[in-house]
Amino acid sequence: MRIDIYNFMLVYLGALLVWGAWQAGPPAGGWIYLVSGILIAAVYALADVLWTYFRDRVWYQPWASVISGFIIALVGLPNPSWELIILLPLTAVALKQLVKIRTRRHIFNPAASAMAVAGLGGFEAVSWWVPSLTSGGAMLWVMLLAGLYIIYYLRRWETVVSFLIPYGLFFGLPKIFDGTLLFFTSVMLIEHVSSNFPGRRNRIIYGALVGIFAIFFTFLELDFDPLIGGLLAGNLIMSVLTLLL
Amino acid sequence: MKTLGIIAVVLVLAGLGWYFYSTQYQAPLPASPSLGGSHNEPAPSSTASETIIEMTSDGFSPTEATIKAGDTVKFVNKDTKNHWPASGVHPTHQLCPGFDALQAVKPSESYSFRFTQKKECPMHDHLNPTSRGKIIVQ
Repeated sequence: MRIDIYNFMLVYLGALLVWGAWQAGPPAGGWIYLVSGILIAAVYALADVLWTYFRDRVWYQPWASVISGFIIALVGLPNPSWELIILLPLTAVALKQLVKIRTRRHIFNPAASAMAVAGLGGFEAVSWWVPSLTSGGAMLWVMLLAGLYIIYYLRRWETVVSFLIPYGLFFGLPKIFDGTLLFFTSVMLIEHVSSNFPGRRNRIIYGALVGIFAIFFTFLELDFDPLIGGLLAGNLIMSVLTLLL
Repeated sequence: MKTLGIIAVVLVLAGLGWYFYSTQYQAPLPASPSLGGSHNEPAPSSTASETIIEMTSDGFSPTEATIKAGDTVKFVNKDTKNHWPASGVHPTHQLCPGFDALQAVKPSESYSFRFTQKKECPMHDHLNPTSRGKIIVQ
């Protein structure tokens, strides 16, 4: 039985947000974290729906947008400012809608690109707060099982493995079993549109490129998240290569 | 053939990385189960060879410490939640290899690490990467 991936990811990411808010918040629970995350997802969905309507005159159910909003909420700051709650999803939607390849497929992972732009603009936007919280706990196993299902459903084994080989060998294989790495590889690296390169070979090269750039950015000691940087570099380079080849 | 070439490049890079890692590795000291002293001190105390950094709900205190090569830093959890001190960059902790608690430090427990290399070590809480600081080893 295959559970629809949109339904699965909505429940999975929503549950992670609730769990993270409860774990990370003050003793009474971090409800402000939860509300911030829901607002980010709502702004993302609303902006995406309106953009599509004004462009194509069609309404649609924005489940993919809510998923991207949840990813920003889980990876961004737990208690972001009002500016970030509004600007991060708006930036993600704008980059998704405008930066496209052959007018169809967006090049960059929307959540990662929005957080990178915020970082370049002087806003600290990446924290990995919920994936980090799972490290060393039982929730890590839940993330592993959920991640394996997502990879299985999207059929992106080759991308995940080709990312993990350089990254895991370089930093040590035990580092792979970590909440941040699990979330990155099973949710962000294989985002179904920006990782959808034609052919197995291209998807292998894409995964390896992200891994190599993530290693490279780690040792540059820039004020820039190495995984996000590696992902965007892989998105860009592989998109250009598939256009040229 | 191209795929084989890519795999070869990846393996060479990984080998170089492993060499870099193994030559820079610094051994962590075993964690102490508890810490004496008052919880009401306005600032963490410091001795010639051991500096204490508290981990609280507000993050590291102090957020920056300057020590000499060979000195030990003791990270004491004074919060009601777990913390996990480690070197930057999240999540691999490789800028100061070895500086990584490798597991959550529970409330009232501690983790110690001896810094042997002269460099600036960015630190963060692996369970809350927004909590950051720096150890300057002179």
